[in-house]
This record gives sequence, C-alpha cells and structure tokens, in this order.
Amino acid sequence: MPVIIIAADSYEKGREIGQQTAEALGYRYVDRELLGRVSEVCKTPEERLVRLLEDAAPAPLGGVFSKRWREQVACIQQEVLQRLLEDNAVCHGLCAHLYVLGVSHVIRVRLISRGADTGGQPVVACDADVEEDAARFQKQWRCWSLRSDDQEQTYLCRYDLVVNLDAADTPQVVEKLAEAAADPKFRANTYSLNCLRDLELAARVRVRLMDQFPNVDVEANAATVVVRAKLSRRSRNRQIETIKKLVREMPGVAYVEVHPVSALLPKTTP
Amino acid sequence: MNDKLRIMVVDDEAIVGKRLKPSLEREGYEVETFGDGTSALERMAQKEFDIIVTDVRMDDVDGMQILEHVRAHSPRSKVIIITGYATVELAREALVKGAFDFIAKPFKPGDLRAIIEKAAVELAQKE
Repeated sequence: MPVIIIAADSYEKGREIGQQTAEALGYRYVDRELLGRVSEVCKTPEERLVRLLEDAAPAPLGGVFSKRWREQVACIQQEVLQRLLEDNAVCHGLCAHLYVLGVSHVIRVRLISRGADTGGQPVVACDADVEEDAARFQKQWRCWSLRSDDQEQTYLCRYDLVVNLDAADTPQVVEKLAEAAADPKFRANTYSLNCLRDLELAARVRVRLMDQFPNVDVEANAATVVVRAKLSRRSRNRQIETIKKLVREMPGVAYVEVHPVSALLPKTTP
Repeated sequence: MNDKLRIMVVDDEAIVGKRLKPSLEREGYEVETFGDGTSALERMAQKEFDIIVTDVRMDDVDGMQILEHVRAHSPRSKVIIITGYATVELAREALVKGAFDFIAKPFKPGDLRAIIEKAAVELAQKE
C-alpha cells in the first residue's frame, strides 16, 4: 500500500484533505502531532519547529544555515521517516515532500490554489501551474535536502499529482487521491521499501552525528552507510575513527565508509 | 504433475542463475535457468511456470517483454523483476504491467526467497 505525502500552501486545507483521505482509505494520518517527540529529541520548543516548517526555505546567514537549524531539520526528518516505514499513511504538514524522494510507493501530492475563479478547469493542475510551482520547490529542497550535491534537481521538481484547489472541493480531491492510491504503480515493493529504509537509516545517522559533526552528507544503501564530512586536517584520522565508531554501533548498520571532503556547504544558490 | 513450485530464472549474467538455482532447489522448488529471453519464451511455450524471476536488461528479449508475455499467456503466474538499474520509473512501470514484485541487484538469495515465499502463498490462496 502506498504512502501519500501532501504539500499544501494552506496548512488547514492540507490537514482537512489529508485527514479525510486517510479516513476514506483506512490509512494512518501523520501530521505535526509528532513534533512533541521531535521537540524532546532536539530540545527545541514545539512552536519553533512549527515556524521552521512554515518557513520551509529560510534565508541563510552568509550562505550557511546554522548548526541548530540543520539539527532541527534532521530531527524532523528522522521522526517522519520512522513513521513512514509502516506504509498505509497520509503525511502532511511536515515538509516530507522535500526529503522523502526516490521511493516508488510514495505518492507526492501538491495542492495549489491561486485564489482565482477557475470554474470548469480540470482538478489536475495544468503544466503552467506546475512549472510556476517548480521554482519554489527547488528553493525549499535546497534547504531541506541536507545534501551538498545537486544531481537530482531536475527530477525532483516533479510531483506525482498536482491538484488545483480552485477547481475542486474537498470530497473531489479526496476521491482523486483515493483513486491514485489504488493505482498499481504506487504499490509498495521490495525495492521501494528498501529505498525508504535507506532514507530512514541515513536520517538516523545524520542525527547521531549532528552534535559533533554538523556538516555531513550521509547516504545509506542496504546496511552500508557512506558519510562525507569536512574534517580538520590535524585530527582527521581520529575524527574518521570517531564517526565510524558512532555509526557502527547503530542498529541496522553493517558497514561504514567515511570520506573527508574539503568543502561541504548546503546549497543556497540556484 | 508433482506439487513442487516451478520457477524460471532468466538472467544474462550466468552467475545469477548459478547462485539462485541451488539456493531455491534447497527450498524444494523446481528451478530452470535461462541466459536469454528468447530461450525462456520458447520454454514457456512448452511448460507452464508458477513463478518467473527475470532480469530487465537483456539483449534480445528484455524482462519487460517477458513480463508482458507472461501476463498475456499465463495470467496465474507471478513475475518477479530483478535489476541492477532500478529506478522509481522502472519499478512503477513493472508494477503497472503486472509484476508481483521488483527488487534491485545486488540482493541476497534470502531476499529473493522471501519474495518467492510470498508469491507461493498467494498462488496457494488462489487455488
């Protein structure tokens, strides 16, 4: 069964549609309720996390996001990905469309509204609307990927379904999403479940290292974890060993590779 | 006819069939391996298989063509796609065409055995 991730301009509207879709399909609904747990893990007030989610693409200071910001984002990602490991879920309000990527049983839905009277327009948005929205997505993704390479950008600006809220009421949108969930192409399969497990493992490793190594790129493939980190020249070997030790102890990790890199800055410019 | 589950493995990398055959036979399955799609299709015309495990990228007949052939001629059979070139698009295409499951290479024989067991349960339920 698939996972549906909803990205909406209006939190309230997205929540209404998300809850009703979950109810119609008998799925779990995952929303900001989990921020209470994130707040404990990263010792940050819940309201601050909500603000962080509301402003998905903050302006960085001097081109770099603060260590604290990256830590909070990493904690949110870890918690959300853990919840999504069990499929049959509708997830909304947690910017999951920006970091749950490359998983074939995840349906990424964008709800857009221009606030105009577009009576008679189709429920599924036209290409022009999608293009307009893509630039915004790029900007947000740059902040949330916590990665320094730009490889997947072109692909990433696509959602599986873009719904025009100006042309559809809530029951129509819910029906459209339920229809999508029944599409065999979004069925969970061994490959897609493994991809989701890899994302979750990478997120857990990132959180584990965040305190001592805030600027790291982490990738996971099966039980192999690859960490790229900017390390000081003098204590490089000691730091590599520290990273390996920290990661090796984690459940689900069989092998760790650490690659020192000379620069590792988050993407802040197009 | 015996009640052993008949499995066909199609992969142009000989090592895949070589490794999977003994591993699956130990589980009590009847296994035939093929190194190309054409000979696999020829064999399918002579014998029905319960489960077909096929690679995607092969020279003559690829895994998607095998999947389409099986769906058209033996709808009861389950097709499991294995590939070293897994992508979201390819996985979705395989599922739309009726694949039972999709798995990226490299995988452990145990991973495939688990999928085959699931397929076997589904086949048994339908009978």
